[in-house]
Amino acid sequence: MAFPQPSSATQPLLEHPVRVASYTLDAKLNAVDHSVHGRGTIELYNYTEVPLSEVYLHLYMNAFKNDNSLFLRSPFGAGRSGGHGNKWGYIDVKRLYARESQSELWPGHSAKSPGDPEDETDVRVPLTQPLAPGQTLTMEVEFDVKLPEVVERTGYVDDYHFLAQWFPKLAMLLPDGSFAHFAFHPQSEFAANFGSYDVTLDVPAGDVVGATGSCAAAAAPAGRRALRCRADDVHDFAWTSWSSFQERSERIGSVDVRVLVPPGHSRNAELELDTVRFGLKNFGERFGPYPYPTLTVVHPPEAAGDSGGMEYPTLITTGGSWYTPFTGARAIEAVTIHELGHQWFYGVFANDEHRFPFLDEGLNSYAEHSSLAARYGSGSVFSGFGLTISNEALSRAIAAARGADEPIAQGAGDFFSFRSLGAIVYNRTASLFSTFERVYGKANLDLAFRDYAAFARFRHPEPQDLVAAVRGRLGEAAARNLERALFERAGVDYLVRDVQSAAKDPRAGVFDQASGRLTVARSEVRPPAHWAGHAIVLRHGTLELPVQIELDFEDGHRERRDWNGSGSRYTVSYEGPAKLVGVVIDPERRVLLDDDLSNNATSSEDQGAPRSLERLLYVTELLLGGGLP
Amino acid sequence: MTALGPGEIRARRRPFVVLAIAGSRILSGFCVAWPLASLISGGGVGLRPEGDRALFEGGGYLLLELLRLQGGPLAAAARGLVPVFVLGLVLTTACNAALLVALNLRDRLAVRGWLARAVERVPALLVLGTATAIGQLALIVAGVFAVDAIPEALAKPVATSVAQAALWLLIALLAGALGGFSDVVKASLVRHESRLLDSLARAFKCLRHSPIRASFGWIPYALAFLVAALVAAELTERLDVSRAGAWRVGAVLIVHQLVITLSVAARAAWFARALRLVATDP
Repeated sequence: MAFPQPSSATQPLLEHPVRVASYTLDAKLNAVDHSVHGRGTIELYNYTEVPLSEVYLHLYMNAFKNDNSLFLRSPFGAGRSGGHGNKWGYIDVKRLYARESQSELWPGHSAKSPGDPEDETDVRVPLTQPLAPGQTLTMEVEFDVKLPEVVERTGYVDDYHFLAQWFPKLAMLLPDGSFAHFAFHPQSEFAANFGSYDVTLDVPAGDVVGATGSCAAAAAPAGRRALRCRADDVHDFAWTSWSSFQERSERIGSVDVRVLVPPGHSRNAELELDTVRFGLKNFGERFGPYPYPTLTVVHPPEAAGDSGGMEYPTLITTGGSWYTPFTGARAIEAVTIHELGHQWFYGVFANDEHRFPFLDEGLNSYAEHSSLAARYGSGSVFSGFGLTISNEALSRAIAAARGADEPIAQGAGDFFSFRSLGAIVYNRTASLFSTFERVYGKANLDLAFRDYAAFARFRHPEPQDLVAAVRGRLGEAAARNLERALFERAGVDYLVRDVQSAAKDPRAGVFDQASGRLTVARSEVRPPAHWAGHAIVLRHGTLELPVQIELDFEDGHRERRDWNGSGSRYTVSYEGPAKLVGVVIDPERRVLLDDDLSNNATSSEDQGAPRSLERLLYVTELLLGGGLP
Repeated sequence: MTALGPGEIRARRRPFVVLAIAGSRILSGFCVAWPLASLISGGGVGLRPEGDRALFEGGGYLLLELLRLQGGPLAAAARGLVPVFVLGLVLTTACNAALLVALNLRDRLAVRGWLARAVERVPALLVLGTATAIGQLALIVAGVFAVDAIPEALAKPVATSVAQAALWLLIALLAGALGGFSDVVKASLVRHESRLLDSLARAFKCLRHSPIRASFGWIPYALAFLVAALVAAELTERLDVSRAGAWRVGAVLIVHQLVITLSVAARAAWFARALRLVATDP
């Protein structure tokens, strides 16, 4: 199969984003009552061509303030964190003052989220003086945060603290002068403009701190420890503080990597460091170099596991028990590579996670699976007992179970449940691109992703940017398939419907020939030496993906035919010396989006399931022997 | 029929009984496995040119697809087979009784007389087995609560895990000891042809006299079985049934049935030891 060859070079990578939302904050952690007092400035640069008369602030800690918040009143189990949290958390903004207009802004704010009289996580603040295009608004801010017990990746457990979504944060300013603002939805993640963060953290003296950016010691009163952490070209800031963290660090390329783990997790620290070593190179080669000088990997203690498995700029959280590496499961590697991948798909390619979560979680799941496959082969999830399970196979099965219930490209809050979002955004997207990789060629898809990465780096990409990159490298048909899969719930199921094979040699009977009538008795018929027949292969669904068809013959030889996938039916005709005994569609398992693999093959004889019978027999015998003492 | 003297009771005297019991295990195992394998075959796998070899292919695509599409029917079929499985357990109990009777006797076995004696013991063995299983289940439930009650030290995860593992080990040892003691009662039932309560009393006397042997005498045999099972797992992996060749399936079948036979032999050896224990009971 021929696909467009790479022609044009990828455009040069952007070195820095437009810095729109920047923060200079001082944060003092009270580890006894689990609160933070913050103060500082927020700067908003109006990069649009429209004067701004208002801003929106996200006060996401208020998601845990009471049962009326959108987050807590949503049916639980639907959320990412899977629990309500045991203690209330909230943020009180004490002051918001516009320096340029010398006016207090907070008295004018709307206390509730737009369109939601109960929620307090999305707050409109009118400006007393419009912010002209090209101008910067500097807001002095002071706030108090009460942390919940760890819920949805933020909070505390005992003296462990993890702070995410902890400060008043500007909603993302869009080019048309509006804001991408939204209440904290249990199925959603976030969106923000790039900027610079300069945050001074004041914590108990014995605490080990992990934070976004590069941190250096600062002056602190007795019994306290202060760190000034600075990060440019990022769009969020998270940090953690705990006295019991143990640290491993290493310089990998140009990146200073720190791994913070609980005591007893040294094996996890090694694994995480090793995975980061691999991931920085793998992702760097495919999606552009990691642009920051630091990376912090935080492995939360098990009791605070809900703060794990999350991404923030230059800081990721993992999770798992200290003994996980000894079980044979690759859970630590998987969560580490996944969160690391988010440094690109979310971090550098800063899509609106609320509007199109597939652009971060979906594409990142593909990046995770393909990199784990490159490293661990078919046993990337599990290997043992003569079986191997790969991430790609597991993801395909989860995606197929949900079929095309909902479009991939829709908002996080539009999915009818988090399970649906998980299956479709994470797994169906990953299977879609694994399919493209196998059908259109990995090199071509890598080039498409390189184009996408070049465009999206330090910008806020949209689905059409991805489609354009695919169109450029894989061609129009691939782009059409991508659009259908993303927006139209398109799927595909290839199936073998009919196989016919008949001998073409003269058989028994009376034959009129030029030389006269010939009668051949049945006893005279020799085994046929020439066969002809066909196989009917159908395509259900609207994705037209090229596929191979393998023909199995009685004499043991095999032939492959290519079908470009167009039309709903393909007749594979053949003539040859052997009888056709079997047909297999997609023998190399390229179309992972195929909704049903059980109808992809047929043969003239039922082969039974001897291997399954043997294994089931053994297991049953063991149970019978040990079942009754 | 006369009983062997305590020093003469040996499992190696009854190799054919061990083989017969292993054979019966295949039979009962087959009754459960065959319907499930048929369901798997009918789910599309049987019609693939490579058959169910595809279920063992790298990555597990078709195995996961089978579980996705046939998981419900397979679970339903497995539930439907529970009565068959229970009958298989009753057969295992009868086999244990037959094994104990055979190990205890000096004479050449006359099938009818041997089995008649064994069948006489089955009701008591069933009551004992059920009670033992309930006792072990109660221990496990208590273990769940006890492990849950261990406070989780945020900064000492290893200590927490070690405490949990130690507790589980203790529960496992207690459950194992209960099982071992139950086997001693079974041996007493057969050796002394006594009623269940009398056998319990004799077994308690043995327990007082030789607490370790009566409770944990089975451990060497269990370890031998465990080693065999691990070796078999390694061999199975190397034989790799995802590759073509019926001989691979045959070889794995032989390996696994050898493990089953060894498990019966190990059980016979432990039963012989238990019989010696109750035979020498003062």
